[in-house]
Amino acid sequence: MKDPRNPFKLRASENIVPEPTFLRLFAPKVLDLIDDEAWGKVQIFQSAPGGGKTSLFRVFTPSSLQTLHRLKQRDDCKDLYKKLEALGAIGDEGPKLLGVMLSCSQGYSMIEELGIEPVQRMQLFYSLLNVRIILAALRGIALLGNLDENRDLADLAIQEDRSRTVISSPPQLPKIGTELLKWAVENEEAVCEAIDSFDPMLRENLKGHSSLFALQLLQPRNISLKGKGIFDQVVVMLDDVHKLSARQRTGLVDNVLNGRWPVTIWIAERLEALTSSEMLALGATSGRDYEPKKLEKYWANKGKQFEGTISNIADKRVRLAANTEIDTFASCLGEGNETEEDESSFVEAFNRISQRVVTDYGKDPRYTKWLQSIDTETGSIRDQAIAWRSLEIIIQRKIRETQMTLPFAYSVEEMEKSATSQVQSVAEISISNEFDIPYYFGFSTISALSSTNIEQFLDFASELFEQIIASELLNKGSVLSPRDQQGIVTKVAERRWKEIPRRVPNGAGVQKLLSAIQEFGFSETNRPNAPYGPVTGIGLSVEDQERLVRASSNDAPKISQLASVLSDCIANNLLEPRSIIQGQKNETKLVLYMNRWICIRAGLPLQYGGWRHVTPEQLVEWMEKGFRSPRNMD
Amino acid sequence: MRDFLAEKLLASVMGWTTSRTVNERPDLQMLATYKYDRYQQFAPGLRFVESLAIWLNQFTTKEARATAYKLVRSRLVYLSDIEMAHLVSIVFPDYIRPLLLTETSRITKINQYNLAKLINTTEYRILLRQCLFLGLSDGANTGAFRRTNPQLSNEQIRLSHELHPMRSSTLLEKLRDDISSYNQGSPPILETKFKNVFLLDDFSASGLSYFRRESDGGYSGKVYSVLNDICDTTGQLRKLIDTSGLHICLVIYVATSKAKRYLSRTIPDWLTNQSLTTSFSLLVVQEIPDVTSIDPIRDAELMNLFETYIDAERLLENGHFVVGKHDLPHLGFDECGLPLVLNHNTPNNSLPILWHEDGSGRKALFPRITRHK
Repeated sequence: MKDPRNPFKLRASENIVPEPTFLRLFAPKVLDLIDDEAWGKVQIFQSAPGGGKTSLFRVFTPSSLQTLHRLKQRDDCKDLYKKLEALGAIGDEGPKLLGVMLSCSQGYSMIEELGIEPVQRMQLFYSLLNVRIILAALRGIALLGNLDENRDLADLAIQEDRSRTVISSPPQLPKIGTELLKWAVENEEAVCEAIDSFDPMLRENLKGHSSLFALQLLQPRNISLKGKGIFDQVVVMLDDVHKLSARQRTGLVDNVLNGRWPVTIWIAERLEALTSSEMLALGATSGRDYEPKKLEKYWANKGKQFEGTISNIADKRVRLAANTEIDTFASCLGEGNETEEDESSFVEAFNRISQRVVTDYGKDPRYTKWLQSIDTETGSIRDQAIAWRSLEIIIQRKIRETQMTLPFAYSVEEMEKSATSQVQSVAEISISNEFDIPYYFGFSTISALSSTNIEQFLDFASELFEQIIASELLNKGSVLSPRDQQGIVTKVAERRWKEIPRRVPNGAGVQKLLSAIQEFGFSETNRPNAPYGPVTGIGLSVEDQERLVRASSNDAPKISQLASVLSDCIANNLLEPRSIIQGQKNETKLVLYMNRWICIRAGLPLQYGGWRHVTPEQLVEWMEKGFRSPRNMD
Repeated sequence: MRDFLAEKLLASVMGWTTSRTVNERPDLQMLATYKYDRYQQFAPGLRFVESLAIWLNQFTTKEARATAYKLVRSRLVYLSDIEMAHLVSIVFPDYIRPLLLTETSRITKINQYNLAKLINTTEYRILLRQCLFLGLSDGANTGAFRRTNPQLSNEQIRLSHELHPMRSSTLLEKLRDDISSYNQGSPPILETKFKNVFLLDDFSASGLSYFRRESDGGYSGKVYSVLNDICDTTGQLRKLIDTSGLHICLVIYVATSKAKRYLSRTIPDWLTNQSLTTSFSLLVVQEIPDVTSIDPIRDAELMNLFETYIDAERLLENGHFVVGKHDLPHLGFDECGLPLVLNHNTPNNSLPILWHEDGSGRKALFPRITRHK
């Protein structure tokens, strides 16, 4: 296969990417998601689209493990091999784990449309799931053992110790591989025929299954080839569970969570599968015994580790690209490499801001020491400009303090204490906006823009990389200027914005709400005294959360509509929920931060932290009329 | 690496900025990968982007290169082998079979929408078996046509309309045997002949190669020779057909609207003067509309480019070229003005700017192998 021009456009979870390429692109650090809690138990992985769930599962499939074993000496596969070896999935002899991966997107939800009793529908659903799990397992075993499915499975035995089963009345299944394969194929055909048939009798006469006995059957000690055990572990991975109907999903998850299955079970679903109450509670821990693993939240808690992981992902893709000398992606984005033009813009910013501050406050004795201190600052012209702007904000905050002050100079310590990272962040973005200086550039920024979603990162990175390789082709070097970087990410943000009505349910309502939140954030951030620092989120009280969850379309239609829109925002990673404890009473708030790419449209910094409390009524008004800046602003 | 160098050359020839390169490169690579690199008349090792760069480099001004590039990016119609194979595969199920089913409905009085019933009638099976499919050139791809339609007998599909007498006899014998087995008895003699003749071919831009009047008043062309063979009482094809109600259908996988109009008029006109009860129809699977062609007035900028860089006299040196209209030879044979390329060769109806190499060292974008010397 020809090396791709732009490997950032490859979506490795899709089967169109061959195994060797997929493995070369897979970053081993992603496997940190698999901790001890994930083995021998049930683990549910949840994320917005593009979180990396399918790629994670794919690594454990027989074809991936077999290919990796073959490629283990390659430099670009060694780390991944070691990681999987440490997890017990692979060894010198080959794969030690049987990964059975099944996508739930293949027609299961159609069963709900059949005109039979709900109980029968669930039984049909379990039937189809059972036979497909068994089929996937048999095919995986055949692949790993280099067996011919039609001839060699006679040597395979899958025999259950019925005295140790957790299921009451498990069915009698063939024990020999070939017969079990035949049984599974016939049963799958029968169920599919019943689904496709117009004949109701066919469906009613078909006996479904009342339990997921395949999960019981496939434990390692039950599986032997020529009398010998072949696997140390079995992991059943059910992907795209959000594609099931609500009833199927609930039934499956309950069944899986409440059964004491002897195999590892992983379930992957998008956030859209959750109910409104589950969605709005996403920021908090549920207090249950069991907690799904939310990928974006996991990476957000890891801080710099996510940046390291996506740096690894990016560099692997760079090395796969055809006809390029580039070694690392970050090197093309050059942190802090301002151009001469930007440098002179900072000089202008420094001159104008410092002059403005001196003119406005130079004669006020309270600020004398502050002005003197700032004037003696050394450092780059950029840092000095930011320092002056920060001072401007701090002075504005001081002016708005209600207590009376004596006309003595404030101490430098007080100024330094007030010059928090939040203030500096606002200072920097306001300089960028005022003097048209690029702000959104550099690898750390691009990493932040991804909002801990891998596909989102690839979306931005692919456009940047396209520019990089075009520049390389034209012998203009491979480092992009900050202005070019900002131009590209702004375009990508704009494109993503325009796609919202098409891609997101309630798209128009979602856009209206997000527009208002952007404007609100910008308005609050750019208040002269920036009282809350950069505001990139809104907060809801626990009571308001409950109102949103309880609202029905009959008695509170607008609140209900708002709840639906908020859920869609969260499901599609447009708003990121966080649970924050604040105030003297240690109140919990649900804070919904804008996805970081939306902050570009609003001209806001990318740090988390600043937010403002709002009520559902305010949000409803914003959705209907847009955000209006309040008349009395300090 | 060669592709990379070709792209570099192309960007240099066109004077592209980085942002223009970002916009053009993905599309060019995609077009090359999926279609243009497979052009069968590229020299070994040559691929599309390199050919494009070399071709554009021959235009001496930036404006000329921009015009030529725009022609390729916005107006070029390229029919790949996969697309042509698709047309071959759909012609029977989507175009011919519905006609047969309609006729069966008329004969049996079964409702025309009751397709399953119609297909299972003896009348349909007989009608289908009495179809003869003849290729007019190797472009007809009769092999692929046969393979994609397993319900048709090998004994009713022939590579060529020129049949050996022994072959004709065998065809009739097999036809009688098959119909006997459908009817479970010996049918009357008349029913052992073919009633529908389908003439298959791949492409026509002017229609002239199928049917045309010569300067001496006579006629020539591939379809003419078939029709003549049918009308001639001693012709091989005449022996195969049921003269009392023959239908001839010319099936062209790709044809221009111009060719369609021309053939729809001239062939029926000729047939009405023959002593044969024959109906004729023309079936074009993929029609190329008139608007695809270059218009001398609307596309003045392109005409200027053609006139500047193509030597008309050299074009007219090819004797076959003068068979069609040739006041504006820069528009190709019969002034078709087609910006069209077929995967196996570029037709001479296509714009010479794309295919003409006059021996002076000028390189074509899609070089052509000419049959007409």
